[in-house]
Amino acid sequence: MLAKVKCFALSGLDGVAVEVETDVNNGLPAYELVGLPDAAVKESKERVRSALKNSGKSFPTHKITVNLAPADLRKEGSHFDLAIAVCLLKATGQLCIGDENVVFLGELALGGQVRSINGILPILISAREKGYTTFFIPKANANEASYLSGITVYPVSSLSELVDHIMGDRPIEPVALRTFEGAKGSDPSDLTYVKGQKAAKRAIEIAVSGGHNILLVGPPGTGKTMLARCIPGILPDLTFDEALEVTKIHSVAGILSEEGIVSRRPFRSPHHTATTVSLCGGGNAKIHPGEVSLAHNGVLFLDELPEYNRASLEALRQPLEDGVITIARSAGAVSYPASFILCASMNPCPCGNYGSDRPCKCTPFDIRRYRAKISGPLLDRIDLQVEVDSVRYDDLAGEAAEERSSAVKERVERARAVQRKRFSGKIHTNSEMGERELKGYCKLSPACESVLRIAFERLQLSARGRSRIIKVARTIADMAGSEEILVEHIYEAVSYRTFQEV
Amino acid sequence: MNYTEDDLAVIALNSIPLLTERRRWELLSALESPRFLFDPKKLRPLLIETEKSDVYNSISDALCKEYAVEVVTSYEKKGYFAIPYTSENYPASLKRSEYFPPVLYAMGRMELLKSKFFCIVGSRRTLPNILKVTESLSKELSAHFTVLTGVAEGGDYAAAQGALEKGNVACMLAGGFDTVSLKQLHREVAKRGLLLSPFPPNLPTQKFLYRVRNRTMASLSEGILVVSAGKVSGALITGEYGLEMGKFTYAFPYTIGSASGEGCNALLKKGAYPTENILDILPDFGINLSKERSAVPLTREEQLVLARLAEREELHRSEIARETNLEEAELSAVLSALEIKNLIVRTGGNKYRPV
Repeated sequence: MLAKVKCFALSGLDGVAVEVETDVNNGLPAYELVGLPDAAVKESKERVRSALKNSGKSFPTHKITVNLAPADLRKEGSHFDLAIAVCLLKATGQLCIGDENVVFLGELALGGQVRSINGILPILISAREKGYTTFFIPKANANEASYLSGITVYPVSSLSELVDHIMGDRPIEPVALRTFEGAKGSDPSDLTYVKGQKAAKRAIEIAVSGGHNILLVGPPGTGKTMLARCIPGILPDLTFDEALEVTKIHSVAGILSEEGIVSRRPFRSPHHTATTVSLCGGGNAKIHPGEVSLAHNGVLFLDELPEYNRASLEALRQPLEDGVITIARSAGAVSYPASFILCASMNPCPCGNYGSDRPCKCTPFDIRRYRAKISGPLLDRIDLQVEVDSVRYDDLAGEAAEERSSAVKERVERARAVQRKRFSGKIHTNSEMGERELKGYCKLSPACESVLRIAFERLQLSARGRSRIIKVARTIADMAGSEEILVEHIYEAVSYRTFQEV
Repeated sequence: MNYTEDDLAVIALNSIPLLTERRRWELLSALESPRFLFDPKKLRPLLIETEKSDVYNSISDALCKEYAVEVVTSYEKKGYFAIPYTSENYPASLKRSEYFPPVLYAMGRMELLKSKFFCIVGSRRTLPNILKVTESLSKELSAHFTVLTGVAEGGDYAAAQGALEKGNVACMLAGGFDTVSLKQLHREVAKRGLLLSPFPPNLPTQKFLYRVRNRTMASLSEGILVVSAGKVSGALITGEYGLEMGKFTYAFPYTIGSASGEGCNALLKKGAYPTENILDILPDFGINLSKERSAVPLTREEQLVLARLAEREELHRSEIARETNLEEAELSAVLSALEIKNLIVRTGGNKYRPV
């Protein structure tokens, strides 16, 4: 007898409907699984067999053929187990389901329990777009589904519970809809604990307000990392749509917390031994999102930038520009969003003391060679380059009151609101402006033009460098509440691009 | 270029790697005229007692006219010229001095050899504001002199950079042309200015050659300006040679305890002229220049910051903020404006100096 049940496969962040078909025939007992399954899907046979047996159902001693359609799409992961088991029950008449558009997702344990899986949220969102409304998912993933309206999701903890529900013996309560509330509690790092560093704090505020990339340069032990760790505390709250975008990626990567949704903007700080694939994403059978995608809508913090593998850093150039990364492998290409604020830190020279009160032992050649580890094109994409001062003992011990992160965050939210109002739609921040928006929203007075012209020649800027300066100037103007970009805004924006000169 | 037999003999002698410079001069002074080097009868008695057999053989092989012509052609093929002291192209100021190399090697605009040279040298570690001053001063001086300098980074580089625009620039290497790898700037100098070396092209750079090169630079120049020099530095040596030879020697004055200026201050104590700008130099050469700096329009805040910096020489931006009561954002803009107008420079670590 032939039975059909719906399941979903993941391709990047998109769910693809998969039909599980099972045919039970007379003949020598056999189990054939077709439709390009990977190892985890093939092994489902043993899990399904034991789960059925231990749930009080029988595994048919017939010739069984299971097909996962479309047959030319690679199927990965363990989440087909539940659908296969249900389909087998249906084919052998042990279970009766009228609606063929019910979607089953979950991994089975040998005892019949349903285990959590990765990527529930992107699957549910894609399925909802395609018109599917009823889902059975592992109970452990229920929180992930609780923010989606317009669908009915039943959390199941075991196969027998599922059977009982369908037979109408013991109905399961569908997942209750929750509303997104944003992050609770304050961040452990607060700007109030960072003494002095006015210039760096100002630059960070600009970077966060406009979504610009920032490079902190300073002697060792001056608080570069500490400053960077304060960034999450001043980032504006995630909107629900943004949170869903981030959660989708984190769900695919399998790093979602119990809460089921990412409510704080991600702050990713991969160690400098990170490989290109771990930064950008990749993998063979399944293409995993890399750190750039996990940092989507948040911050990617690269501490000690020159220590990173050069090839890995160069690979950041394209996502920095486009906000999306497309990873191509022989099995296919996958696009992951990768729109993040790059925050990097480094020492000014190999000995670390250039420009500080301690003597620097490096020759100009040493310094140039050290800085050349960061390629020009990458540096060109970093809008704000600031020096972090070495701190004097008096400043550390002093009781001078420093501004709290919450106060800075309020200003950031205001500046962001100005930007949202201006763009009202596709883009959120000044850093995302294309040439068209640049023309429309960043009109420059003749005075500004002439300043920019001089700076262009003095700093030997590229065309990209020029437009990035204008974007930063736009952000500075927004922070100051100015409708127009004034000369001083341009001057300040230019002042953050002078690191290249030694 | 045309060479007399004397010229060829000197060039051939200079191209023999086994001889020391002193020995070359001994041979040259023992003969009435260099061309007799090609005459085995006159040469043999000079060599027979002193030289080992291999040296003797290579010398007698090399000292023939055919070999000399071959050497000269190979130089010209590579784009440079050998100018022996017997040639009329050999700079007169060099020939007048106590020491001069038998052959000067040159690449670029030969007519500059007849011009007057002014030597500007500085050490590798030179403060950024001094680099700016050096560059602009070198540019101004290049209107009156050919600016002569070395090929090191820092002060030398800034001097060459400044003078390159007019093309009145010469850089002297401390090694042979074939052995030194040149930076982009110096390749440019070899085209638009003059690249010099007092050493045969195949002689690699060695430590003691720097001293010889510095002495040659001092001999060649009418005046010498030392823009920066540490306690031990090549720029200091050049300046000391200048003083010894009685040339006009100038140095930038530095504050007490400034590591990159100790050599300059030492020179000032020995009698070099303290110098701040071109007006301190040109009158000594009979050039009178009435010069007004064109005033750049500045805002009130910019004037305020500049005045503070001029008073205190070097300030951290937090100190500037405290002394001028400017907001952080405002200060960034003002400092950036002054930087773009070339009135201040960053010296690292958020510190600034006036130019």
